[in-house]
Amino acid sequence: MGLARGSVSFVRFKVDGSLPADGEDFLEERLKLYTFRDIDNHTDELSVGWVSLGRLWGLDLNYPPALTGDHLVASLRIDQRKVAPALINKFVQKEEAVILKQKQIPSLTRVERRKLKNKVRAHLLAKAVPVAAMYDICWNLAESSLLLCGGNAIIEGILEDFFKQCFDLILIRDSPLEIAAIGLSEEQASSLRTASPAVFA
Amino acid sequence: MNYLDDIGDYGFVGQEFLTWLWFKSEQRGGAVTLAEAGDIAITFEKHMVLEYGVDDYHERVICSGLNTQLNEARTALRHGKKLEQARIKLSQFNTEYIFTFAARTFGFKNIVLPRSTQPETLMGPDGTGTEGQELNDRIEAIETVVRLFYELFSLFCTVRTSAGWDEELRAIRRWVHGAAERV
Repeated sequence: MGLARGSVSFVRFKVDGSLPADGEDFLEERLKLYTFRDIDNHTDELSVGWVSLGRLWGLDLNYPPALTGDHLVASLRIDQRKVAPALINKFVQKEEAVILKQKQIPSLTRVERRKLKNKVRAHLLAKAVPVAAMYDICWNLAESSLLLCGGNAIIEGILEDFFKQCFDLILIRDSPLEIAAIGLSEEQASSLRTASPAVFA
Repeated sequence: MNYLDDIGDYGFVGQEFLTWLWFKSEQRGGAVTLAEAGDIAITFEKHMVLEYGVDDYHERVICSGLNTQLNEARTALRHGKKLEQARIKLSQFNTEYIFTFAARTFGFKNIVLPRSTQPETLMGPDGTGTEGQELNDRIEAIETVVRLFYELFSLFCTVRTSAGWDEELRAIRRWVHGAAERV
C-alpha cells in the first residue's frame, strides 16, 4: 500500500521556501547526498535517507523517474534499532544482582542505576537488528505541496527535520485553519479564529 | 500557531465541516456545485466515527454496517456529537473517489482510486503499459481528491463565517432532529 499501487493513506504539507534557480540540479544533488545509508553493520540507532520509490535498496533517479513533470517522488527509508523496555529491565536487574553480590551492598544509588541502565541499553541496541520502514513522498514542485504516505505523528516529525536538513525548506502540516485561511478574506479568517464550536443538536 | 496547537484549538472546525458535509450529502441527492470544480456528488459510506468532549469527558462512537441507515450515528448527532471520521465517496464526471477522512487531523486514509487508474485499463492496444504513466495517473487522481475536498472545505468556511451561518445552523438542527424522528 503506497503511492504506486493499492489504496493509499496520506497527510499533506505545504512546502515553505523556494528552490534555488538551478532547481532540478539542486534536487538531484541533495537526493544523492542524503541517500539512505545502511546501518546493519554499524551501531547507529537510527538511519534516515532517500531511496527510489517503493524500492528498499538504493536510489536510482531514473527508475522510476524521481522527477516527473512537476513532481518529485521518492521513498523515505527509516531504519531503527529498538529494544523492548521489558528486555532492558530484565538485563538491568540481572546485572544489578551481580554487582550487589560482588560489592556486598544492599542497593545501587539512583545515579548508579541510571548509568547501569544506559550501559545495558547501549549493549542491547548494538546487538539489535535495525527494522526498516519506507514512506512514499510526492512533492508537487509547482504548488509547493507534499504528500507523505503512511506514517504517523512521529514519522511526520522525522520527515520535517530531515527535509529541512536536506533541502533547507520547511514543511508545514495542513490543518483546518491553515487550509481555511487560503480561501478566506482576512476578516473571514479572523472570524473563524475567534469562532466557538457550534451546537448541532 | 503550530500544527498541534491548531488541531487542539480548532479541530472542531474539521468536525463541523464533516458533519455539515453529511448534512449536504442528504440534500438535493448529495449534489453540490463548487465554484472552480463544478458539480460533484457526495455520498457517505457506511462507516463513521463521532466524538464529543475532551479529556475525561471525551466520548467516541463508531458506527459501521453494510445495510444500515447508521441510526446510531444519527442518535449520536442528536446527543451533541460531531463527525470525526467518515468514509466518503466523491463523484465527478462519472469518476468516483472513495476515502476515509479524519476531520481533526485533516488526514486522508485508504483512498481507493478511480477505475481509470487501474493497471489493466492503462494498457495500450498492443497490451503494453507504462509504469510511469500509471504513477502519474495515480498522483493526478490523489491531487484531484485533495483539490475537490479542500474546495468543499473552503465552501463550508465561507458559509461558516458568513451572515447566513445562523440560517444554515437552523437547517442542520432541523435535519439532525428530523433524522432522529426517523430512527
